[in-house]
Amino acid sequence: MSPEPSPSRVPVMSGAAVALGLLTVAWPLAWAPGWAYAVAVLGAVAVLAAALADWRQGPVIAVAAAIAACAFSRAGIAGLTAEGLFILGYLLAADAPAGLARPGSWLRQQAFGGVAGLIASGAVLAALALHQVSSAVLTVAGLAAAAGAYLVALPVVRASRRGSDIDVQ
Amino acid sequence: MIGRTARGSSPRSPLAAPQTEPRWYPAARARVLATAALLALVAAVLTGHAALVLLGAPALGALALLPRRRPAEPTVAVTRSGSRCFEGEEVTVTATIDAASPLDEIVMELEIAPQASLAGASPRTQTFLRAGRASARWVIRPDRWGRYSPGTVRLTGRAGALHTSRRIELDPLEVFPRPNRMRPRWVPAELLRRIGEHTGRAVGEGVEFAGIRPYQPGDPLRDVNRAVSIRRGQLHVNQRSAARAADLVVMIDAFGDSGPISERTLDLAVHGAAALVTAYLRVSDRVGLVVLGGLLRWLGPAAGDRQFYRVAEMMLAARYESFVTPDVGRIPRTALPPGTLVVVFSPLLDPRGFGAIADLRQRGFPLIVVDTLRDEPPPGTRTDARLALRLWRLDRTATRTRLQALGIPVLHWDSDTELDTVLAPLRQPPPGARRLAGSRP
Repeated sequence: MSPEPSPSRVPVMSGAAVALGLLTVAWPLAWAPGWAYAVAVLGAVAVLAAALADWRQGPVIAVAAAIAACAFSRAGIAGLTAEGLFILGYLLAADAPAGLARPGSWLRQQAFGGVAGLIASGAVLAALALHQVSSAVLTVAGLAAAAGAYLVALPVVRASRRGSDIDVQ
Repeated sequence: MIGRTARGSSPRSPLAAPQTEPRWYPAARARVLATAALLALVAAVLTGHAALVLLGAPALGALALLPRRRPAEPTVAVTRSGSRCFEGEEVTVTATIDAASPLDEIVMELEIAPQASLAGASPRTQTFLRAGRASARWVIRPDRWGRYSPGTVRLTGRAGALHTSRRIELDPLEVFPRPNRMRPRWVPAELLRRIGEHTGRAVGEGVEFAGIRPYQPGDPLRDVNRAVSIRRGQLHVNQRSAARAADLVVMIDAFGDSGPISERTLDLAVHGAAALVTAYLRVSDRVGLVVLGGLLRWLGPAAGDRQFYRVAEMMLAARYESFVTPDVGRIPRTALPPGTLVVVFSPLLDPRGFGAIADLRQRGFPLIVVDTLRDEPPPGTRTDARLALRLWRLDRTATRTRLQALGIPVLHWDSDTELDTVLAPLRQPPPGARRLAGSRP
């Protein structure tokens, strides 16, 4: 199989990731209080650091900043839905492999993730449309389930620091 | 073929226990999606604003779609087109990854050593999508002689929510210094009793005119000198000089601390030695090498292309830091035959090197010293710094004068000058050596 063509001087996916990341951190500002601008600046710095300096924690920090701004904003359902999709798009774009100059085939692969995200958003919107009953027990149980799912889904695996097993043929 | 597969044991630790840690681990994509979803859920719980779940729902949906089945271990092979080359030559590195089931992404990246550069149009990072077998090819150009690994190949594969990564350092490459073309200008006064291309003092079957003598029965008639025979009324024949081979020993002064200046002088010495060795071997001479630097290492004079590679391999290990003072008297006669022309490449910084040169001269070897130091201490702005620089220059001059007093010509190798040009102005041959016929300064 032939490799992707040589990357252009300005990687396409890197630019897309920066644009989506900045949109993600800027979107909630329309409904957020004044102090959220400082959080957004922090998120923007993380976006740029992730794209330019290959800082691996950058996308998570940027998303955390966006979620914090949203949590104290008065954004409506539509705004939050769009923000959730922006977050997904940004995280997928930031994870694009290096050396992608023609990202068409890679984007087609990500379309399944985008559709899954849309379906999940639709499901949540449908659930929110139903009558909501608040319960402390349900809240704690949900939080515990989420944390448990996180730990189960992502077991802490020590990456092998030794070199790969290698044979000389 | 030098190849590496990712299965089996490491060549560095063949008795190591089998690796039990899993090779596949959660991909960065799965981690960030899960973290974003968890952050949104926590925000929703803490603020009591259920709509915040919408922030994490798409990430959760995409995470749920990622396959979590652990694929079979892929096989990785890295090959090189050769294990030895000259400076500036191209070496092809090929990395192949073979997986039982197609991987979503395969990224192969070559991290090149600072002594080498990437040639050709292949990008440093090559990406393959939905591939079970992928192969990346790079053309690298080693820019500096030595024995070093030209780089490291980093292979990354992602299959759904899992990710694997390998880092394979390429085996050391032997990069020989590229010799510049030059002529063998100097030969020892006494040549070997071996057929070569230098004009010897003895009469023989060469092509150079050596003299005239009366005809003796058995002389070939084509040697009869008609003009002299007619003038003297008796047959006379031309005599020719024998074509002989010469012995040359190149000596590299590798003393000195590790540092950029020491590296530059050694680099110059190795390139000069390579040029000399190539020039003399080309005309069927015998060439040897002595490396002064800690342990005394030598290679006896021999002829042929094979000798060039033996010399080049020894030069690759020229740098050897030690405090040992070499005893040139320990060099056997086979490595340094009497009367051999010795060309020493030295920065004339270490007194041990100076002592070895003087010792050789006192043993009667014809010597030529090529000064390989092109750097000077920084002049500085203070008066004492300038004074120190002047003292340093005086010390260098004294060293050169002492060598010249011993009958050793010292030639300075300036920047942007080839060794052939450096040796050309040497009008007076060192004692025991002579300029080759036909090579005018």
